[in-house]
Amino acid sequence: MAFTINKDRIMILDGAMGTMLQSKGLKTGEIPELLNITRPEVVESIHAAYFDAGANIVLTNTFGANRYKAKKMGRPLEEVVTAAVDIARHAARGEADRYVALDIAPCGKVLAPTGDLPFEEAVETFAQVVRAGTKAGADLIFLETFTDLYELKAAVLAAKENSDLPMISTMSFEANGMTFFGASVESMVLTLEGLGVDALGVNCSLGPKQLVPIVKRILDISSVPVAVKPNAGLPTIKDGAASYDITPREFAEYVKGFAEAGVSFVGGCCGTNPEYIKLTAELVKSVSPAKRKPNLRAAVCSPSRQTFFGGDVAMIGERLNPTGKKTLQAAIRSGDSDFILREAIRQQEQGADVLDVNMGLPDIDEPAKLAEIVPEIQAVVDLPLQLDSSNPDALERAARVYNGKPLINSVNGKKESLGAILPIAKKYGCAVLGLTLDESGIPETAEGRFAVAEKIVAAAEAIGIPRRDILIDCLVLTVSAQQSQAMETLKAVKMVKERLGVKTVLGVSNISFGLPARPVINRTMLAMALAYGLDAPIMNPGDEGMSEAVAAYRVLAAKDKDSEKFIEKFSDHEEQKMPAASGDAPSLAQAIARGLKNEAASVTKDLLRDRKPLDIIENEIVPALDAVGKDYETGRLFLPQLIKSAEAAKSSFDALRAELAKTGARESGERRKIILATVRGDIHDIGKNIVKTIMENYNFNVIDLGRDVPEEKVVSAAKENGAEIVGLSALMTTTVANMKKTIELLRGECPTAKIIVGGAVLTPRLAEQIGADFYAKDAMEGVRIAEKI
Amino acid sequence: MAELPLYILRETLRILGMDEPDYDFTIRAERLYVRLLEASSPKHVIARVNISLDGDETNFGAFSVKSANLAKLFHYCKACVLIASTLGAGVDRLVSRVQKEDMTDAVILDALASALADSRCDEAENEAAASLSGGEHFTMRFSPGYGDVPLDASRDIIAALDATRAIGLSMTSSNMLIPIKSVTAFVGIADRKEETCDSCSLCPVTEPCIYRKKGDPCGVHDK
Repeated sequence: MAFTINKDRIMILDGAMGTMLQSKGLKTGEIPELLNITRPEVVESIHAAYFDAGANIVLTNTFGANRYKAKKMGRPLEEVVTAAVDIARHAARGEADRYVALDIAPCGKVLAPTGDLPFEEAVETFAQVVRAGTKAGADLIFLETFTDLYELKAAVLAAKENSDLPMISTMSFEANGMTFFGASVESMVLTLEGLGVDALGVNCSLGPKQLVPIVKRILDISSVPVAVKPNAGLPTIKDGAASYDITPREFAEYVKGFAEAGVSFVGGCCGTNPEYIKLTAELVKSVSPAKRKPNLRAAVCSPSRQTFFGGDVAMIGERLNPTGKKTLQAAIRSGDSDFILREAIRQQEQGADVLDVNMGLPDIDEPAKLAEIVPEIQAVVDLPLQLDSSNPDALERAARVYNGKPLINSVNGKKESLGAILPIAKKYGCAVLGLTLDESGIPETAEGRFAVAEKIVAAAEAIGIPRRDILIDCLVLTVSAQQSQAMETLKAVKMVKERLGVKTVLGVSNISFGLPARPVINRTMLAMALAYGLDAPIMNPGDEGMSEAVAAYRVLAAKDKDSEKFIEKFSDHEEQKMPAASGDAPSLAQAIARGLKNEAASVTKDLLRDRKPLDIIENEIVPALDAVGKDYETGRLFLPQLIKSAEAAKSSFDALRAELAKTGARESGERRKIILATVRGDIHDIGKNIVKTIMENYNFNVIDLGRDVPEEKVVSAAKENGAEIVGLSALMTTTVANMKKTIELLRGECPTAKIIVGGAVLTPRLAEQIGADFYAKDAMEGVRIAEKI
Repeated sequence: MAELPLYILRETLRILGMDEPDYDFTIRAERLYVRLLEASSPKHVIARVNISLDGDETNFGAFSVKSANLAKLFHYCKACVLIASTLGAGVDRLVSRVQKEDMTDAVILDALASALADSRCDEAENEAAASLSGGEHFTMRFSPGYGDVPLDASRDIIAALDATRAIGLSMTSSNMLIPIKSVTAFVGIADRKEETCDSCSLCPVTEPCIYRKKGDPCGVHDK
């Protein structure tokens, strides 16, 4: 009989495989999966023992079976997986209610950008196992022991895209409810439920006692069946060997408790054996499945952080949308991701709960750009993201590589939009924002907008998107043009909330176009909308008036308990309005020498009143930087001070450029271009970033390609930009080979480019051997060399 | 609020090649140290294994490493301790983030994190030292990549300790540890106390080394 997930029964999973193999003589260093070929009878006897102990489901001996390990095994992956499924099937001896789960665990590599494994390679790695196991006749897929939510997402997608089998997914948590990679229980549940797994839970990591609070948290917020496979307690070292501290009886008692609380799949992990499973099966037999009443809420998440809609106001930061923002447009075009990342960090500091990300510019490859920037933002900011585009392809690619559960902005009531966007939200487990407009435009009445919202909700539910994952934007129109519409929007918000029971979003600042004192209108509209039930304003969290309105609303609506945050915010506020400490302002040279960022900018602005930008660069900044550089070279200053001065100079340059842009003037001559990259295989790039900071402040135009950069990308960037200088960094002896390849390619394609190399393992001799033009021992020497080229 | 311990500050300064911290440096370091501790979840795993020597090759049972330096270090040893220690993935994320906030802070934080990683590894080593029996002495700690010990020996240490599962430690294909602020190491268990080891005599990068120039070589300074 085919295996199906039945919410109304409790199923028994097996116990440890590794522990059993070791007890049967597997030695450290031996590959367990190879036994499927070399000693199938040993593996089968373990499965049979678990079935006989009462397990309904055994996991195949394929924990680490993947393409990377297959190399070491010297056998084709498919052969190992097929053998494993056959062995487990054979162990079931054709008896009823015995099922074979294809076991899949982490692949041993870390996904980019943290590590070097590209997301799609991870998907394909798992897909190979899924295809082999499905073909071999497994009944279900069991993903287990994951600690990186991103890797688990790759595995779930691989399973969904390559098999129709039911799937159970579990992660390993530490006692604090976080995985090693920093994923939380709540984010796991939100992400996996979104992706459509059939059951989810926790395995390994801890003993059943320590898992109690974690299992409770999972049961509280998930709607699908829950699986739990604890270790036999915590490991203790006895005579040099690991053992576990819980007896089979204690184990079974705890696990019975899980079943009573509503867990549907129970079994054991490290340290357990058939005795644990036998007692567990006996005790659990008498438990009837509990009726669970989980608290399911509208939410989006990153791996470590969730934003819930409906409890408190959730601010969606709007600053990463290039519409009307020239500097951001320029940053997107030139690939200056630092600017974008700094803007993301700033909005988080200003209190945003979600960040909207839009890379839509007419002349760029928006899908590629959005899919590229999303992981970069997620590497530095832990807020959930709202993926914003009118291009379905861009939304799909970004949703695919997003780590966690994002919000898609947006779908609308048009047939075409519903058909294109909702399947993306469904497949990638996203919440989705619906705009109340359709083929006939934006309805003028609240009732009209409500009708569109109703249509969107119905269409989403029809393809299996739960109602809580739909948010509705009733659309703010410009009040100076259509005065009656403001109240219609607000009424629609109220209707949608009350009658459809979904959460609401509004882009508030559109309201005030064309009026003076826009902030006054904006913050008043925001306050009114909040009172009408708005859950999540899309706004600039740095807008003082609006964020103050949110803070005040939180007090008045009793969201900010005892007005604590309000008091904190506004006591600081008073202090900040105190006049700055007296004392003479430093000169620009002093500000740069002492590394005073803010002062450097303000002194520059003062100087600009009666001096020309070029005069300031040549007679103030350059001499100041030179003095700092010399002090560094002679050992009077150290790296942190050098960088501090460079950053102060940068803020001065920024002030100057803003002035130049205003007057429409151009800087004299082009700044010289230099390409910087950390070579393929190197994922640590702080050294290269130091060089970048220093170079920029000697007025080079740095094109930063980032880290782990393929050879071809360096070459194409050098060609495209006509760069005279290429700076390469390598940190490991293993990646110097990639540096050499990059140099060889550059010589062929860009024969005039001069190549400077640096990094921990390089020496002048090694630089010469791999064909570089120059070796720079540090950032300052790099500048000196580049100046002479 | 967590105070920045003097030994971490001192090691941080050493890594940055600085003598005395100025006021601004100290303020920044103290502030960053609080964030560093918040982001870190230090863990280690250790195991004592028997070893045997065959020329330049040391056999650890599950794997072997060819290295003249290691063989020399283990000359009087029949066993050693394998150590894998990490500050956790949160520190990597913090270092990435601070690089976008302020590069000066990032450089200080990176050095602070290295100093902290080193001191956590010291703690793992001390824990192992507690189980030494009479007449057993630790050699100097030795990590892959140091002297002629190949970098990929880290992969063997991680596998032998099951460190990916135990503490979340992995490696890239170019042999970089992930999380970055992690240490893998061998410590020999010798039957006699060693003379102080001249760590520089084994080091491939002595010529440009700023620490050596300052007369402050690795591995022998006070903890």
